[in-house]
Amino acid sequence: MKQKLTWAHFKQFIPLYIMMVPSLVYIFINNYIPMAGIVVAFKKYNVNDGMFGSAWCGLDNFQFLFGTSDAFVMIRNTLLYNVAFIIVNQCLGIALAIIISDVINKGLKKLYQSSILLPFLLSMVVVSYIVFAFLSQENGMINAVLKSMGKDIVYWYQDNGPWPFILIFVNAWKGVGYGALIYIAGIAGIDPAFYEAAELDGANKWQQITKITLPCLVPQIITLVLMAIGRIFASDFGLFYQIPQNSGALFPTTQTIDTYVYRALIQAGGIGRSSAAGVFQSVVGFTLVMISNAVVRKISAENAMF
Amino acid sequence: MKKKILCGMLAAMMVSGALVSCGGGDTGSSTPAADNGSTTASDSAEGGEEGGEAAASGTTASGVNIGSYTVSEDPYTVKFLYLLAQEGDHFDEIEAAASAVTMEELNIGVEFIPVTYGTIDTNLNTMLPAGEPLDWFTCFAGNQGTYLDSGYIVDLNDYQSLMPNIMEYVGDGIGNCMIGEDWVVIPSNYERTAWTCYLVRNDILEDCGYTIEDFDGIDLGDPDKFQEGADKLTELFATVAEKHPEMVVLNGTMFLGTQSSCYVDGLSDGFGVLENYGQTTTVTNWYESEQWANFAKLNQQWFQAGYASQDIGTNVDSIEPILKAGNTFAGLCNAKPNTIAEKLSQCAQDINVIKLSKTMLSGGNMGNGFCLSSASENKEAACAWYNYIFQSGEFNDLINWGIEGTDWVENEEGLADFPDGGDATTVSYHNDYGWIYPNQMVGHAWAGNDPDVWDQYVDFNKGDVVSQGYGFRYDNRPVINEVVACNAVNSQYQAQIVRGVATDMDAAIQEYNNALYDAGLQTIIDEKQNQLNAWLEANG
Repeated sequence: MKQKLTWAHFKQFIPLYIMMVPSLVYIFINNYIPMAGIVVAFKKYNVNDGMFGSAWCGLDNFQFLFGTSDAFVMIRNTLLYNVAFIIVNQCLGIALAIIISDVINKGLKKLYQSSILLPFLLSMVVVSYIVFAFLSQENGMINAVLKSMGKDIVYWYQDNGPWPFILIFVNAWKGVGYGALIYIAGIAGIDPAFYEAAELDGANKWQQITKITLPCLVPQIITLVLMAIGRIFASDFGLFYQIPQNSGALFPTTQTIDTYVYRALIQAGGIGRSSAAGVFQSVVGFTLVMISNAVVRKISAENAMF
Repeated sequence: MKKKILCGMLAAMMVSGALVSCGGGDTGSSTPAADNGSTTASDSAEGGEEGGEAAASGTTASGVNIGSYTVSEDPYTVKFLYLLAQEGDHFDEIEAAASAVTMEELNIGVEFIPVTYGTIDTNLNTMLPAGEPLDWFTCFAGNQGTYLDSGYIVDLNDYQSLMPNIMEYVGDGIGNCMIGEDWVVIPSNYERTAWTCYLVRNDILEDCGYTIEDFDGIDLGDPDKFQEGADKLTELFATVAEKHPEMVVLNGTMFLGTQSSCYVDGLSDGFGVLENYGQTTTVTNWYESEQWANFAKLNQQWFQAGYASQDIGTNVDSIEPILKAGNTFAGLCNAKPNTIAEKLSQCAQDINVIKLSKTMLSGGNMGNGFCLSSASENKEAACAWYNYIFQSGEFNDLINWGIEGTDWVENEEGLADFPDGGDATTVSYHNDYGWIYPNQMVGHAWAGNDPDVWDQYVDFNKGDVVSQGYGFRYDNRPVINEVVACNAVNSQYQAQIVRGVATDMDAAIQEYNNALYDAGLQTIIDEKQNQLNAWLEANG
């Protein structure tokens, strides 16, 4: 790694750097320049005074986030759901990737791969109606089965107890295909010689998975987990808003920062308050990425991102 | 080492990507435009004041009163953002025709910026902060405080002399168009009051042995008559449920407990109201009143008896498409003189209405209409233009029904109708959004209405009773954080109660009110009361 950066060395990568330029420019314009907009979160924005000319208002814009007892509930929900999503989706993704990679028939392999990816391409609005078809009180499939068995129907949209499981299940069903795809690519990149050697040494399938596949996937796992942690304070709005059908009784277990901000600001909003919510989520997200990266660096410096 | 630097950069980009998507995005790139906006805004505001001083009254060749406006040599194009049912395909033609209405006499044309319900908020929330050129735009009452505070909209008081037609139209209701000292909105011309009613299937009603006259005189807002009315309705729903077990009796998204501008004067947001049809000057919390609890319990009784859809707690479909589907008997809605004609075409069923309230004249509907953007490049011309098109039947027909002869024709009753027996699918421009256009009443009403429907509106708009808060509009800016918090409480608790799905109603109402007070309801009520007292003193 300690290679000297010489001109000769640099020269051979020039085409690659040129290929990188457009996206660097794009990211600079799209992601870095707008960061100046953070000031709006601390201002009483007035279009006539402009973004920088508006009066400062301290932390006023943040008040509505922390002003009520809901603040604790929504922050807790956002964090716990995202932690659960990371764990469940990564584990399932890796498991599915390993299983699918071992399918020998090419056609079937493609079929499985595509079918787990399919839900990822559906809009949350569509998914919400699929869920509704199961859970509806009037015509839902689950309640129809309960009725035919002579049991009382369950008012799913009035009972917040089962919702953590429902949401985690739906999120996994919808999102797992994408992670699995990346892991499948990772597994395909592992040198088959490792497995051949292991088989010669008498390693069984399970040992091959734990001793070869998983260690080789660690870089991908870390990247995906770190990326997910960066967004740990942001929630999938569609998932938390559409799937519970915006039912107030479910808020104790379905309210997240994004849905709260949307519901509170749908009227009488203002750009300052929306920005404040965005800044808060980003600052916490950034801090968490730095912390997780530091932890990774402590454990295995080679796999840390920076 | 280089790999690590690159990785570090990538990670930073990733995080900043999250930042952008979280809210910085719509503010950030707007700096230059916002600066431009501010320069032009102040320039032309000065121009406006000068114009205002030279007050004189003028009329055009065709007899339109244009007040103190002097027609300029330089043509101006007004940018007009309004709501559309769906995109039409000969939009340019309509825009050209609408420009021609004002071009000859005012030398002002118009450029349309049509938006739909789904996109209006996104459009406005990006255009306004960026100061993009825009003159008049559709704006609902709830946003206007924030818009005024952010400098997006202009105080129209400076331009009164340019808008004689508007002054005459708004009259003494102007207080409802004002926030503090600023006149922020010109209300679109539609109903100022409404009955709460049940839309019912007339065929089913008659099949069950009733006629609509059996329900005359119901007034659920009168404490003495509440029980009688409630019993009549319960009896009807029970009969329907028995005779038509295949039908859902009740569904929809509106409920007695959400009618905060009918049974009480909700003073714009319903947090602190004037109870008993506004016949008081004391601001109270409707949500802990006996009336509101009775409404909730009535709905609970109907839900538990199985009359209401079992999914009513989360239903988001309004009653019209539900009735159209054919297996539902009734749902709540607001009614005006031509409701039956309107709902017949929307529901395609034999529809009638059971009225459940008096009509109360309040300022609630006068907050919705058109605001003048501070990014307007010539506010004087924009105001003169609005004043002109407000009395132009041609303009109002154009934006609502499209080109005469192509999109609509006048029938023998003098009403607008589809050409050659077509329907909404055979023409390419048809909105029927008259209520949120400047002045539907100078244009054609649609076929199916009584030919004198606009005259009926004039009488109807007087109301059975007038709220004592009529003419007063509260300025929510001092308590905006509390309003935001109370909105959040509403979305969590209210639906379960008003829709009747909560199991222990008294406990649910108690919990809801506790949450409201925690969120600062008392502060809002006190602020409203203070503002109302000050207004009463000045206008009482």
